[in-house]
Amino acid sequence: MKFMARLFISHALHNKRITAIAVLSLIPAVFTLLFILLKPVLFDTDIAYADLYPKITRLLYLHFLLPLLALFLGAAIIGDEREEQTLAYLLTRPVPRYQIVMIKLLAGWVMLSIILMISLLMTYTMLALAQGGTAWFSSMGLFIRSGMVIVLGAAVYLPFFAVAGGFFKRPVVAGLFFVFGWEGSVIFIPGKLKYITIVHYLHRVYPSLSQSAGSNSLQANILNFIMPVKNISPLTALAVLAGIACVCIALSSMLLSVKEYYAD
Amino acid sequence: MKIETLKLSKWYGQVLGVNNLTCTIGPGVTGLLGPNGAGKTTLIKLLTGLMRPSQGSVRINGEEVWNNHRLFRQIGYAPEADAFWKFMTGESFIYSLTRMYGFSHDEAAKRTGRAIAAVEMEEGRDKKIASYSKGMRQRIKIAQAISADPEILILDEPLNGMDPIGRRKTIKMIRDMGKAGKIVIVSSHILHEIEEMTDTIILISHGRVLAEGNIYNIRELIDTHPLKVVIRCSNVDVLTAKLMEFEDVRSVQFDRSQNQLTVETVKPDLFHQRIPDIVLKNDITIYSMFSPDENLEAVFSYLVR
Amino acid sequence: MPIFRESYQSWDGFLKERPRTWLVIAKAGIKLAWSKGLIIVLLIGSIPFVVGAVKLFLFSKVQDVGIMPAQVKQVVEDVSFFSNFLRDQSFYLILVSIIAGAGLIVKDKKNKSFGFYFSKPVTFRDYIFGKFLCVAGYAFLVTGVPALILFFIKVFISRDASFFNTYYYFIFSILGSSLLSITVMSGIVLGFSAISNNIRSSAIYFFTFLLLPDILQKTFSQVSYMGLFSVTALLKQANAYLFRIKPPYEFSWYAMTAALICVAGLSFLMLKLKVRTTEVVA
Repeated sequence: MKFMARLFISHALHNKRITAIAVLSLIPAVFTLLFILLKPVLFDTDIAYADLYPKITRLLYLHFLLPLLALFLGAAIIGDEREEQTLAYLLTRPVPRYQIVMIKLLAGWVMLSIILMISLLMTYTMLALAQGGTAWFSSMGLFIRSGMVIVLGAAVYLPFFAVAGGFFKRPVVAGLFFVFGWEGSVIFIPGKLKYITIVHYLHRVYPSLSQSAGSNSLQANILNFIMPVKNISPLTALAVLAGIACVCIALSSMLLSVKEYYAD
Repeated sequence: MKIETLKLSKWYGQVLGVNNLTCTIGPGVTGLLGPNGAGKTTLIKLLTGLMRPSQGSVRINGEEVWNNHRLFRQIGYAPEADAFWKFMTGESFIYSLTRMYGFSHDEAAKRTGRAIAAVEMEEGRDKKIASYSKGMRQRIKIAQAISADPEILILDEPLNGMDPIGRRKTIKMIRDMGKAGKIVIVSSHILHEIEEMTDTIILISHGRVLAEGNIYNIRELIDTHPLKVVIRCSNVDVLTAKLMEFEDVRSVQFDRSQNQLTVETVKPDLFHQRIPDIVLKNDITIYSMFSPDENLEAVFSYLVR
Repeated sequence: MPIFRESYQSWDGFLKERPRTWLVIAKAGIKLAWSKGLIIVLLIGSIPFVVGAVKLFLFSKVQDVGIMPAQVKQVVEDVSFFSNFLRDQSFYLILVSIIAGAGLIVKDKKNKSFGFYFSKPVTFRDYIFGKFLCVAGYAFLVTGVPALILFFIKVFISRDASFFNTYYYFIFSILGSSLLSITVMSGIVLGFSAISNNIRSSAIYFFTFLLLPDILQKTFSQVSYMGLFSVTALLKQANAYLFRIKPPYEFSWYAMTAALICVAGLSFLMLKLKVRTTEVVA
């Protein structure tokens, strides 16, 4: 198993996809740097650097990069091997099929977490340095907690999209629809619909990252009256996320175990 | 060690890939022969557990193949597709796949070296597969299949893209493995390749087994198609007259200018026993005698037509 | 001398008329793109159209009775109803572009099909135009077609011709806005399809290119000129100009035009670099 994990990580490192993911993950860091350098000149709004970090983590990482890159990687977990026609080699080794999926998911999760954490660290460091040197140490707890949410999110989204890769012919379209169509709209609608998202639970694991829900419109109040939402505790959110991850890992493993290989 | 299929069928939607196929494959080289679309690759995918039978079963030593990863310790498979992890070198490709059999690093490295030597790829072992020629890639494919020294070797179109020297060496390697008691299944649609490798064939067309066994036995069994024998001799007229006396000789065509006659007989064994006696008694000199029918192409064309 | 492309034509004589090879490519692509996924997106994309049509009918009915809920009146009487409808369809336009367009050139690259195309009397223009039509055909079904139908529903159910007399130019606005969106989106998706190695990558790059500037704008600042870097913002701005309503961003129409030309240029560059049969550098 250890050898297979190393092998799949090596495959991933040689795959252009990981290069693309690494480049995309640097975007927040690059724009943070540009913002810090150009803010006095170009921007007329006054945003405190301390407030910017949670905003970047929420909007850029949690709501965009994490699900997008997890989709990019997760949907291709088996799809890549199938397209390259190398799946036949893996399926004709004395290795249980579910193990192949699990090790690939593990390798993918490690890669994605490392890439995103490096990017997050760069962003955090730049913002901390812009506030003054001691901010790097004093706000380290914020970085660690947000980093854990990102890593946890990767552990959930990756197998989720791996299942999509097994079920749908076009998993990318289904994934984009789920993240940016469903999650993107439902998360801001008061009511219980947000329970059918992943990002809601990630928000609940670390509530400081969430946007304050302060909608006082008539619709919001009606929805809150009909479907009152109790704020779930971080522990509950963690348990739900763990459950989703386990179910998706089991499903994606099962899918490869029962699916046939038609290529060639 | 044997592979058994029992009433094996596989559908792709409305299309029948393999149709009620029952056969037994034992040690030695078995040629899987058939035209394009006959069902050879489907059968191979069923034998290697890549596809699940729609009906019937595939068993290796009594065990079902589908989703039985333990059986793969005994199977080496070289697919037809020209598919590799191209960023790897030939050696690392074989090593990685050998390690997945469960061997330790040292053992896998040793086996990799042996496999590379067996396919004569020592010079190119450290180069990336992306830089290999088609023939070199084919050899690497075979090497990864044999590296774990499996009891069963399944090769789908192994000689594709190989140069004549490479072909000859690969054919010899396949024959040697068959002689060593392994089950070697070689799929091809090129008749003379199979003929060079083995006398045992399974002839498939439209998903069904048309014939199974030794080429010559199959030929004999096709008694609706008499065996043709072409004889060049010194006295065509006399030999023709003598041969026509026998009931098993269906027809004789002769060409005096070529001193040649073509005989069709339904009892080839009897015919061959008779010939020496006839030529001695009638003082006929035989210049040459051969059967254009006693080969795979004739068998193939008779059965597939 | 380096050979960059084989597009020679090797027959004697002359063609009676210029063959419409782009039409052949377009028809084939449209047939191939037709799939369950596309049908689902088209069906879901038609929901806003149904909702809009119901709103228009309700408006006309309650107008007859004399009851006018303020919100309905505001929604339907507002001239930005059609502009907003087109704007809101952009998500489905993106999905349709991905389904119909992300794999168009990638597959040809993978199967090494450029040689087949360009050894026939097919030029680069024919090829690109044909591929463009594959995407545009379906994209128009979620943008221009429903918007035009809503317009004509509104005209039909109006009690008099005043709506049409005042807003007849909406036909051109709808056509212009949807064609502009379709052209820009198709160009970008084809560009990414040309530079990617597989459909998945192409779809992700396309989506990132479209969405990332908006998210960066929300994250770092609310300054409107950040919209110059966002294709969706540029198209919203163009949409507003075409419908003669107040644009959502502060940058002018020539800045918007220049930015759109840059985007078009980038797409063209990606296509020109990658859509070629052979490249032999001496």
